Amino acid sequence: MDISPTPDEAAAALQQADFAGSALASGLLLPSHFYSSICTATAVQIGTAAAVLANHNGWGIGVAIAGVLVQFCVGGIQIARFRSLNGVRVRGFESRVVGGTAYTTSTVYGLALGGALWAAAMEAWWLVPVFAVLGGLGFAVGGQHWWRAYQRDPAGSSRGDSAVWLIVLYCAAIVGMGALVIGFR
Amino acid sequence: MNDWDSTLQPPARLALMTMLTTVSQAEFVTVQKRLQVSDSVLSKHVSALSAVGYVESHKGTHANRRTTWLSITSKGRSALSAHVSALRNLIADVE
Repeated sequence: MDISPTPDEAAAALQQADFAGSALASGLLLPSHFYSSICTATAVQIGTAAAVLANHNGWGIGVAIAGVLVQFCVGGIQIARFRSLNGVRVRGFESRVVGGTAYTTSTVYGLALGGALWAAAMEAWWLVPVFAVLGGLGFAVGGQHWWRAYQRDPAGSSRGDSAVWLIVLYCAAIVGMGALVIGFR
Repeated sequence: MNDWDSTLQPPARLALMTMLTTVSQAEFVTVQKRLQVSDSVLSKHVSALSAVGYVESHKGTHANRRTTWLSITSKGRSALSAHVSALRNLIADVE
Protein backbone atom coordinates (compact mmCIF):
# COMPACT_ATOMS: atom_id res chain seq x y z
CA MET A 1 0.00 0.00 0.00
CA ASP A 2 1.27 3.46 -0.90
CA ILE A 3 1.78 5.91 1.92
CA SER A 4 0.81 9.50 1.21
CA PRO A 5 3.61 12.00 1.86
CA THR A 6 3.10 14.51 4.66
CA PRO A 7 2.83 18.19 3.70
CA ASP A 8 6.33 18.77 5.09
CA GLU A 9 7.76 15.90 3.01
CA ALA A 10 5.94 17.19 -0.06
CA ALA A 11 7.30 20.72 0.45
CA ALA A 12 10.85 19.42 0.95
CA ALA A 13 10.66 17.18 -2.13
CA LEU A 14 9.36 20.03 -4.30
CA GLN A 15 12.04 22.38 -3.02
CA GLN A 16 14.78 19.84 -3.74
CA ALA A 17 13.39 19.17 -7.22
CA ASP A 18 13.10 22.86 -8.10
CA PHE A 19 16.63 23.44 -6.89
CA ALA A 20 17.98 20.51 -8.93
CA GLY A 21 16.31 21.76 -12.11
CA SER A 22 17.39 25.37 -11.79
CA ALA A 23 20.91 24.40 -10.66
CA LEU A 24 21.45 22.29 -13.77
CA ALA A 25 20.27 25.06 -16.11
CA SER A 26 22.15 27.85 -14.36
CA GLY A 27 25.33 25.75 -14.32
CA LEU A 28 25.42 25.34 -18.10
CA LEU A 29 28.25 27.11 -19.89
CA LEU A 30 28.55 28.36 -23.45
CA PRO A 31 31.69 27.30 -25.35
CA SER A 32 34.42 29.92 -25.58
CA HIS A 33 34.02 32.47 -28.40
CA PHE A 34 30.51 31.17 -28.99
CA TYR A 35 28.74 34.40 -29.96
CA SER A 36 31.69 35.80 -31.90
CA SER A 37 32.02 32.63 -34.02
CA ILE A 38 28.27 32.43 -34.71
CA CYS A 39 28.21 36.15 -35.56
CA THR A 40 31.21 35.83 -37.91
CA ALA A 41 29.90 32.69 -39.65
CA THR A 42 26.51 34.33 -40.24
CA ALA A 43 28.13 37.49 -41.59
CA VAL A 44 30.27 35.36 -43.94
CA GLN A 45 27.19 33.45 -45.10
CA ILE A 46 25.21 36.64 -45.83
CA GLY A 47 28.17 38.30 -47.53
CA THR A 48 28.91 35.30 -49.73
CA ALA A 49 25.21 34.88 -50.61
CA ALA A 50 25.37 38.31 -52.25
CA ALA A 51 28.21 37.04 -54.46
CA VAL A 52 25.59 35.12 -56.48
CA LEU A 53 24.46 38.45 -57.91
CA ALA A 54 28.01 39.33 -58.95
CA ASN A 55 28.43 36.11 -60.91
CA HIS A 56 25.38 33.85 -60.91
CA ASN A 57 26.71 31.28 -63.37
CA GLY A 58 30.16 30.47 -62.09
CA TRP A 59 32.16 31.25 -59.01
CA GLY A 60 29.34 33.26 -57.41
CA ILE A 61 27.31 30.14 -56.73
CA GLY A 62 30.38 28.31 -55.45
CA VAL A 63 31.20 31.16 -53.06
CA ALA A 64 27.59 31.25 -51.80
CA ILE A 65 27.58 27.48 -51.19
CA ALA A 66 30.92 27.77 -49.38
CA GLY A 67 29.36 30.45 -47.14
CA VAL A 68 26.46 28.16 -46.25
CA LEU A 69 28.89 25.33 -45.49
CA VAL A 70 30.95 27.61 -43.23
CA GLN A 71 27.82 28.48 -41.23
CA PHE A 72 26.74 24.81 -40.98
CA CYS A 73 30.21 23.72 -39.89
CA VAL A 74 30.60 26.45 -37.28
CA GLY A 75 27.09 25.72 -35.94
CA GLY A 76 27.76 21.98 -35.82
CA ILE A 77 31.08 22.44 -34.03
CA GLN A 78 29.55 24.78 -31.45
CA ILE A 79 26.68 22.35 -30.75
CA ALA A 80 29.20 19.51 -30.28
CA ARG A 81 31.33 21.70 -27.98
CA PHE A 82 28.27 22.69 -25.91
CA ARG A 83 27.30 19.03 -25.52
CA SER A 84 30.83 18.00 -24.61
CA LEU A 85 31.28 20.88 -22.15
CA ASN A 86 28.01 20.37 -20.28
CA GLY A 87 27.04 16.73 -20.78
CA VAL A 88 23.57 17.77 -21.92
CA ARG A 89 21.66 18.50 -25.12
CA VAL A 90 19.22 21.40 -25.25
CA ARG A 91 17.23 21.34 -28.49
CA GLY A 92 15.93 24.87 -27.93
CA PHE A 93 19.53 26.08 -27.90
CA GLU A 94 20.39 24.09 -31.02
CA SER A 95 17.46 25.26 -33.13
CA ARG A 96 16.74 28.75 -31.84
CA VAL A 97 20.26 30.01 -31.13
CA VAL A 98 22.50 28.06 -33.53
CA GLY A 99 19.80 27.38 -36.16
CA GLY A 100 18.53 30.94 -35.89
CA THR A 101 14.82 30.13 -35.58
CA ALA A 102 14.23 32.45 -32.62
CA TYR A 103 11.89 35.28 -33.66
CA THR A 104 14.40 38.13 -33.24
CA THR A 105 17.18 36.16 -34.89
CA SER A 106 15.21 35.05 -37.95
CA THR A 107 13.69 38.52 -38.44
CA VAL A 108 17.04 40.35 -38.30
CA TYR A 109 18.69 37.66 -40.42
CA GLY A 110 15.99 37.88 -43.12
CA LEU A 111 16.20 41.67 -43.25
CA ALA A 112 20.00 41.63 -43.37
CA LEU A 113 20.10 38.98 -46.11
CA GLY A 114 17.49 40.88 -48.13
CA GLY A 115 19.46 44.10 -47.63
CA ALA A 116 22.74 42.47 -48.72
CA LEU A 117 21.12 41.03 -51.87
CA TRP A 118 19.49 44.39 -52.64
CA ALA A 119 22.85 46.17 -52.18
CA ALA A 120 24.53 43.66 -54.51
CA ALA A 121 21.79 44.10 -57.10
CA MET A 122 22.23 47.88 -56.93
CA GLU A 123 26.02 47.32 -57.19
CA ALA A 124 26.47 49.20 -53.90
CA TRP A 125 29.07 46.62 -52.86
CA TRP A 126 30.27 48.58 -49.85
CA LEU A 127 26.81 48.05 -48.29
CA VAL A 128 27.05 44.24 -48.52
CA PRO A 129 29.50 43.84 -45.59
CA VAL A 130 27.47 46.36 -43.58
CA PHE A 131 24.32 44.23 -43.94
CA ALA A 132 26.36 41.06 -43.40
CA VAL A 133 27.76 42.35 -40.09
CA LEU A 134 24.29 43.55 -39.02
CA GLY A 135 22.91 40.08 -39.75
CA GLY A 136 25.71 38.45 -37.76
CA LEU A 137 25.15 40.80 -34.83
CA GLY A 138 21.40 40.10 -35.00
CA PHE A 139 22.12 36.37 -34.76
CA ALA A 140 24.31 36.91 -31.70
CA VAL A 141 21.88 39.30 -29.95
CA GLY A 142 18.89 37.02 -30.69
CA GLY A 143 20.87 34.12 -29.23
CA GLN A 144 21.64 36.09 -26.08
CA HIS A 145 17.94 36.94 -25.65
CA TRP A 146 17.02 33.26 -25.90
CA TRP A 147 19.77 32.25 -23.45
CA ARG A 148 18.50 34.76 -20.85
CA ALA A 149 14.91 33.51 -21.35
CA TYR A 150 16.15 29.94 -20.92
CA GLN A 151 17.92 30.79 -17.67
CA ARG A 152 14.70 32.37 -16.34
CA ASP A 153 12.46 29.44 -17.40
CA PRO A 154 14.55 26.41 -18.42
CA ALA A 155 11.66 23.93 -18.51
CA GLY A 156 9.58 26.23 -20.70
CA SER A 157 12.40 27.04 -23.13
CA SER A 158 14.39 23.83 -23.42
CA ARG A 159 12.31 22.28 -26.20
CA GLY A 160 13.32 23.11 -29.75
CA ASP A 161 11.39 23.34 -32.97
CA SER A 162 10.13 20.11 -34.53
CA ALA A 163 12.17 18.58 -37.35
CA VAL A 164 9.26 19.08 -39.76
CA TRP A 165 9.04 22.78 -38.90
CA LEU A 166 12.81 23.19 -39.37
CA ILE A 167 12.65 21.53 -42.81
CA VAL A 168 9.72 23.80 -43.81
CA LEU A 169 11.63 26.85 -42.54
CA TYR A 170 14.87 26.02 -44.36
CA CYS A 171 13.02 25.16 -47.59
CA ALA A 172 11.15 28.48 -47.35
CA ALA A 173 14.50 30.28 -46.80
CA ILE A 174 16.05 28.62 -49.86
CA VAL A 175 13.00 29.37 -52.03
CA GLY A 176 12.86 32.96 -50.71
CA MET A 177 16.54 33.49 -51.40
CA GLY A 178 16.18 32.06 -54.90
CA ALA A 179 13.20 34.35 -55.58
CA LEU A 180 15.17 37.37 -54.35
CA VAL A 181 18.14 36.49 -56.56
CA ILE A 182 15.89 35.98 -59.64
CA GLY A 183 14.02 39.20 -58.85
CA PHE A 184 17.20 41.27 -58.54
CA ARG A 185 18.82 39.90 -61.72
CA MET B 1 -8.29 14.41 -4.49
CA ASN B 2 -4.56 13.65 -4.31
CA ASP B 3 -3.53 11.76 -7.44
CA TRP B 4 0.14 11.72 -6.50
CA ASP B 5 2.28 9.16 -8.25
CA SER B 6 4.00 6.55 -6.08
CA THR B 7 6.73 6.07 -8.73
CA LEU B 8 7.72 9.71 -8.29
CA GLN B 9 7.50 9.73 -4.50
CA PRO B 10 11.23 9.28 -3.74
CA PRO B 11 12.66 12.85 -3.68
CA ALA B 12 15.62 11.84 -5.87
CA ARG B 13 13.27 10.64 -8.63
CA LEU B 14 11.27 13.86 -8.48
CA ALA B 15 14.52 15.85 -8.67
CA LEU B 16 15.77 13.70 -11.58
CA MET B 17 12.53 14.17 -13.52
CA THR B 18 12.47 17.93 -12.85
CA MET B 19 16.08 18.16 -13.96
CA LEU B 20 15.28 16.36 -17.21
CA THR B 21 12.52 18.88 -18.03
CA THR B 22 15.17 21.62 -18.26
CA VAL B 23 17.20 19.88 -21.00
CA SER B 24 16.45 17.62 -23.95
CA GLN B 25 18.94 14.94 -22.94
CA ALA B 26 21.41 14.64 -20.09
CA GLU B 27 24.36 12.36 -19.71
CA PHE B 28 24.11 9.82 -16.88
CA VAL B 29 27.28 11.12 -15.20
CA THR B 30 26.08 14.73 -15.38
CA VAL B 31 22.82 13.81 -13.64
CA GLN B 32 24.68 11.70 -11.09
CA LYS B 33 26.99 14.59 -10.16
CA ARG B 34 24.10 17.03 -9.86
CA LEU B 35 21.99 14.68 -7.72
CA GLN B 36 25.01 13.58 -5.70
CA VAL B 37 24.02 9.92 -5.70
CA SER B 38 25.99 6.79 -6.52
CA ASP B 39 26.00 4.96 -9.86
CA SER B 40 23.89 2.12 -8.53
CA VAL B 41 21.31 4.35 -6.84
CA LEU B 42 20.81 6.42 -9.99
CA SER B 43 20.63 3.26 -12.11
CA LYS B 44 17.84 1.93 -9.90
CA HIS B 45 15.87 5.17 -10.17
CA VAL B 46 16.35 5.27 -13.94
CA SER B 47 15.26 1.63 -14.27
CA ALA B 48 12.12 2.28 -12.23
CA LEU B 49 11.25 5.37 -14.27
CA SER B 50 12.02 3.63 -17.57
CA ALA B 51 9.83 0.67 -16.59
CA VAL B 52 6.76 2.93 -16.41
CA GLY B 53 7.75 4.85 -19.55
CA TYR B 54 8.64 8.15 -17.85
CA VAL B 55 12.29 8.20 -18.92
CA GLU B 56 14.15 6.96 -21.97
CA SER B 57 17.81 6.07 -22.08
CA HIS B 58 20.11 5.34 -24.95
CA LYS B 59 23.78 4.60 -25.34
CA GLY B 60 26.03 7.17 -26.93
CA THR B 61 29.47 8.68 -26.64
CA HIS B 62 30.78 11.71 -24.79
CA ALA B 63 34.41 12.85 -24.89
CA ASN B 64 35.32 9.63 -26.74
CA ARG B 65 33.88 7.31 -24.11
CA ARG B 66 30.67 5.32 -24.05
CA THR B 67 27.95 6.76 -21.93
CA THR B 68 24.19 6.74 -21.38
CA TRP B 69 21.94 9.66 -22.29
CA LEU B 70 18.68 10.19 -20.42
CA SER B 71 15.56 12.07 -21.50
CA ILE B 72 12.07 12.53 -20.17
CA THR B 73 9.15 11.24 -22.25
CA SER B 74 5.87 13.07 -22.89
CA LYS B 75 4.18 10.52 -20.61
CA GLY B 76 6.77 11.40 -17.97
CA ARG B 77 6.10 15.13 -18.37
CA SER B 78 2.36 14.59 -17.87
CA ALA B 79 2.94 12.37 -14.84
CA LEU B 80 5.38 14.88 -13.34
CA SER B 81 2.96 17.75 -13.86
CA ALA B 82 0.11 15.82 -12.22
CA HIS B 83 2.32 14.70 -9.33
CA VAL B 84 3.62 18.23 -8.65
CA SER B 85 0.04 19.57 -8.71
CA ALA B 86 -1.02 16.86 -6.24
CA LEU B 87 1.87 17.74 -3.91
CA ARG B 88 1.05 21.45 -4.12
CA ASN B 89 -2.60 20.68 -3.30
CA LEU B 90 -1.47 18.61 -0.34
CA ILE B 91 0.59 21.54 0.94
CA ALA B 92 -2.20 24.06 0.24
CA ASP B 93 -4.73 21.96 2.17
CA VAL B 94 -2.89 22.53 5.45
CA GLU B 95 -2.12 26.23 4.90
